[in-house]
Amino acid sequence: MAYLSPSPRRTGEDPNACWGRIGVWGSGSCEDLETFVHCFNCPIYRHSGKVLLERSHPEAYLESVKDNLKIEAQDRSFKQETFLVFKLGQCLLGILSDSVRAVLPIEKIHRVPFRTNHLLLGLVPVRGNLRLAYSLQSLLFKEKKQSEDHKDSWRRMLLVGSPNLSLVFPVEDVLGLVSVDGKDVKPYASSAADARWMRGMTSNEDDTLLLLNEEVLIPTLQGLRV
Amino acid sequence: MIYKEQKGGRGMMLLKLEIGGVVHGLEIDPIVEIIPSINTDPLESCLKGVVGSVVYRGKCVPVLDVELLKQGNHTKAVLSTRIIVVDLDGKRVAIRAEGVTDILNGEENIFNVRQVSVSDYWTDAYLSAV
Repeated sequence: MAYLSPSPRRTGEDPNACWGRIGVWGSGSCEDLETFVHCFNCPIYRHSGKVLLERSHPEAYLESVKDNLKIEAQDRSFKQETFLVFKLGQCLLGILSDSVRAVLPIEKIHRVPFRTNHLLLGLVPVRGNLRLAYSLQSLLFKEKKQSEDHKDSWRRMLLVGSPNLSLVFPVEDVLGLVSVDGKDVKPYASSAADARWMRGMTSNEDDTLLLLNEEVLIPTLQGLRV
Repeated sequence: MIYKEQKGGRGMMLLKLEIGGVVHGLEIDPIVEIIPSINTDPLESCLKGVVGSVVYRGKCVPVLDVELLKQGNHTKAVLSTRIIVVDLDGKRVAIRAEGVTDILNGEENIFNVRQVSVSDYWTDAYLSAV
């Protein structure tokens, strides 16, 4: 039996960043991992995060906030929304940031016997829960390749959906957030990806950004019987 | 941004704050924005707890320090102390409170939390005076 390190939660000692020593980012030998599976679920980790909020404000930060608040809110007849931009093949895609629960490093996707195919890649452990992983390439570009053909290009995973029903999409890279004004969104008119899953397109610097319609995408995949 | 109710309905949601070290849950309906606890500008007021005003989106908003109102001490100048801008029948006012770090929702046990509303602090008498 492997040696288990005593948890600071039980011994009462100072955690001293235990998540990096004996937790999931360290040796993984903490005895509490059997209970909490991941440090994210441990009260010691949560409490340590809150301690950071007991620090005093940097003065320059407060001044910058104060200056920003002085600017009058602009009257916008069009709704402004924030999209997470990611790269998939030759396309730049955007998904509404409200629907993205996390951006994660790529993990091994476990095949589901008799179910894994070009669309359903398999199961991925995310913070102690198993989530279904789907191929956006297959859905948007109708590619029939298996996950092995793409896995070298995937560098990130997006966790998308509601807290109870989140799905995982491996992507090539995540480029950041962009704010898009409703008036800049044009109807989708491209053959690059299946129009069913798109809410429109807009320009992002010199590239075209294709905006995913997660209101159609997520419920469809959740209801899919594969 | 605070979501009152997510898809699937998760019941009541309260903003956690602390007064005298005791956890309170503030109704979220009138909350417009939660901002860092910036320095307030002086405001001539004889109202207990009103510590000054901030310029919020181009408008002057009076700030009530609930710690000062209820405990007689000023709030601590730390990151978890925040100013909660609220809208009360079209009037913009703000509350400064400590321990504003969480949203309490129906999935957690909110019955041990003392539930409060903005009008407990910004009473009609206070509103008419500012």
